[in-house]
Amino acid sequence: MIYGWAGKILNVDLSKGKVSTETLSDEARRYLGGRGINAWLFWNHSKPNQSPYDEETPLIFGAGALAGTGLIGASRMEVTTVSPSKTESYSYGNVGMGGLWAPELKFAGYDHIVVKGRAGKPVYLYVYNDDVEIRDARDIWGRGTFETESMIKEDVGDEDIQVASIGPAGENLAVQATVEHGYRSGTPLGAVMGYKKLKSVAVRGTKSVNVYDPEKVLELNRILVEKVREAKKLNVSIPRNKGMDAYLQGFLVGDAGVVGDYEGHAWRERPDIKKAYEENALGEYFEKDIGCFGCPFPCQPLFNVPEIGACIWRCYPTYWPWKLWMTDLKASFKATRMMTDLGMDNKEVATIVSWLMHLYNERKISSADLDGIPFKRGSTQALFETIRKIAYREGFGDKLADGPLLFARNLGSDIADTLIHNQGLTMRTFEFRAEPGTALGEAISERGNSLRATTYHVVIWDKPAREGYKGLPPEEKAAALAWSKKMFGTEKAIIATEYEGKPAALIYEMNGAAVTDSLGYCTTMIRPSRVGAPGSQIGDMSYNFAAERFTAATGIEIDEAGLFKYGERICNLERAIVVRDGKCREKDTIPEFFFKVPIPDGPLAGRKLDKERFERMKDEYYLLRGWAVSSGLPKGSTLEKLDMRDVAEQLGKMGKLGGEIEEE
Amino acid sequence: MEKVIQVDIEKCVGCRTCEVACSLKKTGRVYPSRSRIKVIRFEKRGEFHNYVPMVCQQCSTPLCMDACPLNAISKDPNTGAMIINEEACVGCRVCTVACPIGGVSLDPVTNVAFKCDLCNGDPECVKYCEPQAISYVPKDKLDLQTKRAKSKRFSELFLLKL
Repeated sequence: MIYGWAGKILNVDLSKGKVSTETLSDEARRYLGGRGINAWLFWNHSKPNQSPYDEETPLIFGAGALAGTGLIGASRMEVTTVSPSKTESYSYGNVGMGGLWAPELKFAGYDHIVVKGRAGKPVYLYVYNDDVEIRDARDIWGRGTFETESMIKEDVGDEDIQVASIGPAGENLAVQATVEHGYRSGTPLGAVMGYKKLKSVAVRGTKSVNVYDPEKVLELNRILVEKVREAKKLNVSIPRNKGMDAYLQGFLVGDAGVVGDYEGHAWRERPDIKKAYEENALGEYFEKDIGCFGCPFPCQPLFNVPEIGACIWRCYPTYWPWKLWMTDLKASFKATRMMTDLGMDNKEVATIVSWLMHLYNERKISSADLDGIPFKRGSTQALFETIRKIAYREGFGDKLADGPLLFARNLGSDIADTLIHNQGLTMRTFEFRAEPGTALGEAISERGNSLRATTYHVVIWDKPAREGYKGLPPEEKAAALAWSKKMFGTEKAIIATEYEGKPAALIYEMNGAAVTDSLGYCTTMIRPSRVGAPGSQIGDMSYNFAAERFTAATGIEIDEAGLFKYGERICNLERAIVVRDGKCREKDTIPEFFFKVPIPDGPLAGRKLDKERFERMKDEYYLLRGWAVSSGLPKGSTLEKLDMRDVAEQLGKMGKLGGEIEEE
Repeated sequence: MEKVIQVDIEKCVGCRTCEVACSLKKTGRVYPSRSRIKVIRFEKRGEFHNYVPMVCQQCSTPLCMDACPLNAISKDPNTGAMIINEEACVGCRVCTVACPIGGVSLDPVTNVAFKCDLCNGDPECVKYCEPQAISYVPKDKLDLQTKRAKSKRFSELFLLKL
């Protein structure tokens, strides 16, 4: 009897129209599930630097190991394939989403789906328990993700089916295109689905997921519900306050990051923008929070604005309007909804619009370069046109859809130099110049621009992110600093602006994130700390919270250290993948901008990243990881210690193993 | 006083934790297709997301009991729940036809009728519903919260002395 996992992988070949299944091996389960096993499948099925537009490129869907086990917060799915945004050198990309898709896949009897090949005409994959069909999607092709979902439900005749789709942006192979489920998207991978002519993956299952100790699962859930009720009574709850906390985080503070953001300096002095957010023009349209399978405290605020429609409105979509100096929040909401429907990433598109507006403002480009559209700051027309033109590949949007880097280079090298990116992906608005840990994570990050590789969650947040903020309680702060000293050898490791201790803190964060994503757990539920941050998790300060739940569901005895070994293994596998594709010490870096241009204003004015200290952080990081300091490549001995001899052997054959002995 | 599971559809977030709890308690597995409570989804992405948790309301006039040709349904004297005698049930589904709300259906594994039995007076599902879309309420206190919420506006009118 297998507990937790469904125990099966579904293989689909779209070229041949064939499906088959295989047992989920113990070898695969070295990487837990979700993100980890997806990486393992990617490692086995992909070739170095494989193009996203290669028929044989694998497109992998996975459910977290604990998805469908009924544990509150374990519901996440993962999509892994070649990242079309990494236009300079194609490599690994992945994205995680909550919702109801992953548990449904488990109920259908599978943990992962590996899709290869390319269909001759548009299709969608329909999985209903053991019945798997590749269905005609010619009528659905061209529709937005909203309508797609409704059409599939009608086609199949089942309201409970769970759907992950691409919109027109994915069909047209825009690098900004996402795979959408619910209202969730992120790192854009939709173009791979588009190339495969795969419109959707629709799953429905009526089987069960076995759990080792059902009574314990129920008990752990009851404890969590009680904790949340208590927290709500004390008004220290997670940000589930009718969508308002997202506003406070995004707007009132104006910073997505811990100490600021690199783009925030232009708008700060604009009282009209600040006012628009403070007045919170959308508040009256909040309808309710909705969320994921098996989570009674969902965090996705659904807004329903007359004449626009309904959409989730939180996180990134609530931060970017200020970058564009947009005071019309209804238009921002409309743009967010439009991007969700067209299936494209908010961050990628908004950051590009912000960049174009900046260039336009500096007179480096003119409307002649942009199909005659003036890119004045705050222009809703510029935003809407960019969205539409990318999704349908019209005018300048056609070039942008091939990646902002290619677009920028077309405009000349002086303009290309102004584009801030990580391997072709635009970058989140953190103040990398003053947050060495975040900068290091960005450099190391295997998928590029990832919250999975940042000290964002572990550092102390001490900023007025909620109304009536009175500063961190001194005893809470003292406890956090003591914890930092114990874990990373220095209190400075959790001070955002310090260099010291950051490599160790980053490794802790990256391993923890790998565990979280591979279990299919919600980050706010099990990733500890974020001291003082809005949205602090409700577990304890350790991963014992996760370990206890893993044991209850699977019957496998484990503690925090045991889970972290899994996390380390997953991070090393992902490193092996990107190293295979050419990543190395020299390429572990972030744009020169952050080393050269000092912060113009605010309390951290004048600060920039120190190259020497940055490189020293890298030395320490590689050393702690057991990777060769000179090259950044994993050592064979390190992989062997992690039961990854097979991976080491393959890397060795490619000449991609780090040297065992190095000079000091 | 007998209690029943009261449903407040406005509070349901559609998470299906109740289905998890019910199936874990009754089958030892996470098995939503065998849950006695089911969240019915009325969704059109981009337009609306409405959820209705459907569960037997233990009717004052239980039509399922009257309809059963084999007298396999009886009322639990302690809890007031309608209980199905699985040994006697042949799965004829007359009860499912008779029920006005779809509170009883056929178990896909045992192929006999199955429905909410109020877990012997300690229903598992309601313990996890943090938004309290489902709650276990004495019959004489039913809908009191709703009445109060709905009358709040009237009370505000009084304050305005209209």
